[in-house]
Amino acid sequence: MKFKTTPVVLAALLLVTAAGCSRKNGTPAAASKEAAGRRTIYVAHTQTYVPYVFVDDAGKSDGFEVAVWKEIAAMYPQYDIQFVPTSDDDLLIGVQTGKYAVGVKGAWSTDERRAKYLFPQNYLAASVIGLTFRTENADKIRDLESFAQFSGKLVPISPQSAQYSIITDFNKAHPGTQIKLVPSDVFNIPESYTWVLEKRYDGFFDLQVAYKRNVLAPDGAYHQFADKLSYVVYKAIPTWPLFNKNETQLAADYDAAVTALHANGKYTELAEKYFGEDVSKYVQK
Amino acid sequence: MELNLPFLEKTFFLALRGVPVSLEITVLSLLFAVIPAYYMALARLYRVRIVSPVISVFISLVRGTPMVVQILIVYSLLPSLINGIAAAAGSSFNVFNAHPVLYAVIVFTIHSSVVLSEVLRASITTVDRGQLDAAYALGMTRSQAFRLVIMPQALREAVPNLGTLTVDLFKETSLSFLMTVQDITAIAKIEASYGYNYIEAYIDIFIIYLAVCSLVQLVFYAAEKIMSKKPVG
Amino acid sequence: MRPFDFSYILRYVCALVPFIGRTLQVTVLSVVCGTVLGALLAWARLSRFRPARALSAVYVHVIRCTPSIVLLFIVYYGVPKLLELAVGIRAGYNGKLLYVAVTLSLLFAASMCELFRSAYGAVDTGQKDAAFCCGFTPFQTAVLIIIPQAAAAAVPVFCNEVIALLKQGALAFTIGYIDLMGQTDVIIARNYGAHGLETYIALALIYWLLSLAVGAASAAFERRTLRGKSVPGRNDSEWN
Repeated sequence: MKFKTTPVVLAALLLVTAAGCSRKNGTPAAASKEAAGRRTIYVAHTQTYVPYVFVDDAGKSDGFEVAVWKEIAAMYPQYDIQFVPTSDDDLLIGVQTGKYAVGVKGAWSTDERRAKYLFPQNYLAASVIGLTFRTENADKIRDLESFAQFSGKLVPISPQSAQYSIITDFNKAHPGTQIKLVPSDVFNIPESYTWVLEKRYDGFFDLQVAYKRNVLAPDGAYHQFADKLSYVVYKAIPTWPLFNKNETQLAADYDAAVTALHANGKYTELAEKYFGEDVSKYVQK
Repeated sequence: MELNLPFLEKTFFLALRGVPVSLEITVLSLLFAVIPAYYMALARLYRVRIVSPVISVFISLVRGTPMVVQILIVYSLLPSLINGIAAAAGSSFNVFNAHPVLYAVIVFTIHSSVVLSEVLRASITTVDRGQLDAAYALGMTRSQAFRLVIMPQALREAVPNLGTLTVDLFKETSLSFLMTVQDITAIAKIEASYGYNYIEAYIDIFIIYLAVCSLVQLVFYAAEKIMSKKPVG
Repeated sequence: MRPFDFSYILRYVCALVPFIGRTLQVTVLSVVCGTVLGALLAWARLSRFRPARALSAVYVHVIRCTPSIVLLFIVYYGVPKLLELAVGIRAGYNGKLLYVAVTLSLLFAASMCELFRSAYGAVDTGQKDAAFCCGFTPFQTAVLIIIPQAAAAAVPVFCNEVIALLKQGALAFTIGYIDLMGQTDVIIARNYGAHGLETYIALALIYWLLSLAVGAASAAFERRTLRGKSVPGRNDSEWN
């Protein structure tokens, strides 16, 4: 039948695949070579964690953590820092295997992560996490413990997210009153607020930044329900960059740089720009 | 890179517990999809006056929109709607207590009935028109003709495509983790999140899907072999 | 209980339209490569040589049993490793489009093999005998007689498969390649999660239009290939 064209087509396919894989859009050869004293550092970051790490309209890497790393790049001319926007999975696996030197995804510290990745001494940013619930239950819900006592019906959380391990730890510490933790892949949209409002669930483990933006802000999508929803802060959790286990020098340089940024006020300036406030003040030293 | 073999083994057996769930969703969706698919295919073939264009639009809608949107609609919007109606009617029915597998079955039934109707439509067109004429000449009614003469021949042609459909559906059910259903992929991913053993988890998922799909495909190969035996005389 | 604003749908449709090209790139590339590879596989599957038949059957079997995410991971992490070991080329950090296209081509080829096989079987053997009697070579038989008739049966299912391939956007996003679906998540994230429903509806509308286009092309092709052929349910003059 089509046998006349098959060898040609097969060859073409192989060529296309090989060509694509070795296309040097990102300088392949320089990746691990210390060429002329300058070393290329590939910093992977996720694309949908606003305002920590994301891509702007033009597809350029942006976000508070990216901005800090740009400052670090300015401080260390011997590093050529390249940002690689990618996905959660790819970042986690890639940093582990050494494909990327660092992964920046607004990550929280968990024991499992500390086992697999190198953590620096200084955190990068911080996120404030708390509970969103219906105002009508405000007398009964004041914190996570009272929520667990009330009903514990929490909106499902993705097991890949650090929030999952936080709730798991909470449940381990409170064997008597546990939160009903349901694992699920999550949608990227705040159906969670609606679910709490319509009593499908009684609480939503929410970032303060998102709550402020969606409920409290006058142009927030859920502002019309601001009187029906309440928020109580649980913890301020520092976020860290994830280094590959071998990158001890880079981690040390990073630490020095962050200390310097705090000292010269650049850190606060960037925090104001992306968060509207200095988030580091929430983190207990 | 070294693999965490104890984890690999432990997660494999844990994930196996998700197989009945995935199979259940697949089988139920297919079963519920058969009748709607059959009538949708017929309606389109016969170009039934009002029904056919409506069905065509429905088919293009379900086929053409991403599965994630369909899941969102069925899992989030539909219960809200039912809840709203129930509240307005004053009933205390709590739609949110429904088991998530129910939602999974609904979504995949809708999806499969559309895909299945296209497969059936294609296979019916391969049957020679003469068969229908002969059936009428023998005095059969239209539904008898279809049931006894056309469909058996059409199904013979459809078997490979039915196999593809079933296997694809089985793989697609991994999306039910969005609806909190604990199927194979869900269990593996949950286990992987504790120690970040994603590579081992994906290997487990691969092996299990390979095993189950192989069985499914064997069944369809057997069906194909049986059906392709020429009738005597 | 749910904030909803129709005006946002139009706004997000416009925001998403520039990314149609990326989705189409992946789809077209995958369809073309996958169809060619699938035809090869079908030919091998129907050939006289047992090794060819066996190889083809094994390939189709394994690929179809592999969830697309797993295959993508194998391709994305495996191919660079292979290239490094075999040829010493270190793969770049970009070119994600190609990994997705390769994965989807491999998947599509398996479906195509089965499709071609079933379409080939649908053609009456009498046709092949008649062609033989008329002195057609096997190649001529294939091109002039078998394929046109097989195409008639194959087209609706081919259309299904292409549309299914179109929607594999979520796959691309797992390695960070932003196409229509990935961009939807980016837009939603940039809004801190607001207007998610409107954004997804905008996405659904765009995909629906794309699939309608594919469906229209397929319907036109079907009409051409079925012209003159009488099949149950097709003969307009006889039935109401």
